Order: sequence, then C-alpha cells, then structure tokens
Amino acid sequence: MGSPYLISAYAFTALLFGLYAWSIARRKARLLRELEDLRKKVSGQ
Amino acid sequence: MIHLGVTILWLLIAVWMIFFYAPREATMGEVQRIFYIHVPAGWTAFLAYFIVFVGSVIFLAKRSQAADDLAHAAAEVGFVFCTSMIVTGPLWAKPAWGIWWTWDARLTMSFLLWLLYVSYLMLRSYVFNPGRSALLAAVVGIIGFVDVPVNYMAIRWWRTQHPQPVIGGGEGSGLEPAMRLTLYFCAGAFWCLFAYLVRERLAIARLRRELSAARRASAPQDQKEDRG
Repeated sequence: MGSPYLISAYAFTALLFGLYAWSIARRKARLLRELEDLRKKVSGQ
Repeated sequence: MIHLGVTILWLLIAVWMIFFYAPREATMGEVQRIFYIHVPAGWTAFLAYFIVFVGSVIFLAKRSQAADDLAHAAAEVGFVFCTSMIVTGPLWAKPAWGIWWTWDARLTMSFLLWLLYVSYLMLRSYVFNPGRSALLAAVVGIIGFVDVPVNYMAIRWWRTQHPQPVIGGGEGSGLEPAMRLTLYFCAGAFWCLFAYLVRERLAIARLRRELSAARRASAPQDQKEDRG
C-alpha cells in the first residue's frame, strides 16, 4: 500500500469528488437562501 | 438523505474491498489497485456522455427543458469522472509502462472525450443567450458521442499501448473472480455516486429557475417601491 502512485491516484480522486460535492452543496445552499430571502421580501410587502 | 447514505456506505465497502479483499496482482503489485477507480471512472464517463447524447437529441426534437437540464447535469458530473480517469491513468502508466502518456488510440480518444466535456461546459458558461447556448451544446453533445463507441472499441480494433480489455475481451481475457467482483462493486458505487450528483445538480437547475421566476414576479413590486 506504500506506492506513491497509488496514494496519489486515490488522494486525487477523493479530493476531486470531495471538492465537487462541496461546490454542489454550496451552490444549492446559496440558491435556497436567495429564494427564501426573496420570498420573505415579497411576503413582507 | 437515503441516497447519500447508501452512496457513502457503498463507497466505504468498495474501498475496503479494494485494499483488503481483492488480491495483490502478481506482476504490478500494489499499484494495480488503481485499476479499481480508473476503470469504473472511465465507464461512468462513457455512461454520462451517453446521457448527454440522449438528453441533447430529446432537447433538439422536442425543445424539452427537462432533457436539456439532464444533459447539462450529466455533462458536468461526467466531466468530474472523466478527469478522474484521465489523471489516474498516467499515475498507473508510469510505474507499469515507464511513461506517463503516449498518443495511442485509446489514450487519444479518452483525451478527446475530456475535451468534448470541456467544450460542452464552456458553451454552457460563455454563450450568454440561454437558448443559443443550449442549442450549440446539444450539437456538441450529439456529434461528440461518436467518440464513445470508438473509444470503447479502440483497444479491440487496434494494437495499443493501453492493455487489451479484461472484461468482454473474448478468449484469453478475464479477471480473477475476487478482482472481478471488486471491480463490479466499485463500478456500482461510482454509478450510485453519479446518480446522486446528477440528482443534486438537477435540483440546482430547478432552484435557479424558481429563483428567476420569483425575481420576475417580484419585479413589478420593486418598481412600485421605486416610484413610491
């Protein structure tokens, strides 16, 4: 399990998917927040 | 949440199988375990582009927004899997062949597939007219699909530096049963992850549409405020 190539391949893949999943979660959370703010603004008028 | 939980559990079991269940390959040793992410990532990149192709055809035929959203989501997620395949390949090639890269048929077609994903996503990002962007991307999604079957068959049609197929490769090919089971299990885990990410990406597309509709609906009230 000590090959640097093996470790690099698994580390890269884990990092790539981790970052992508994080970016999706962040985008979704931002959109939900904006939508909620807009709804509050509209209902407050 | 159930889908996410199943995906994480499936991935964890897959990692356990890769390092503790699948036997050590006799010639390449430990580095051969890259195979269990490289091959499923490639298969998933092919599957994703097939979905891009189907979504693009339906979009052009029926102008279906849902089909366009699906094609866009599959392209974005497929790009991530294709990048994983493109990067893990050379990391396996260097210790196995002594070189990082060579322009043989399979590797060239795989790089072309990665460029097709990039082109599709650039068209979605940098063409500002949404209708035109969807139309141009659909054309790339359809024409580019030619790469997938040619890429799949490249190691069957031509003698390449890339190894001959071990699954569906005919006589003389094949895998040790524990290795085969691990490979299929990893492919299942990747497809489950792919489905989860596409679902989340579709949710983002739906939210964006809801937000622009809500903005349009609230615009006259803002104008009233301005006038007031």
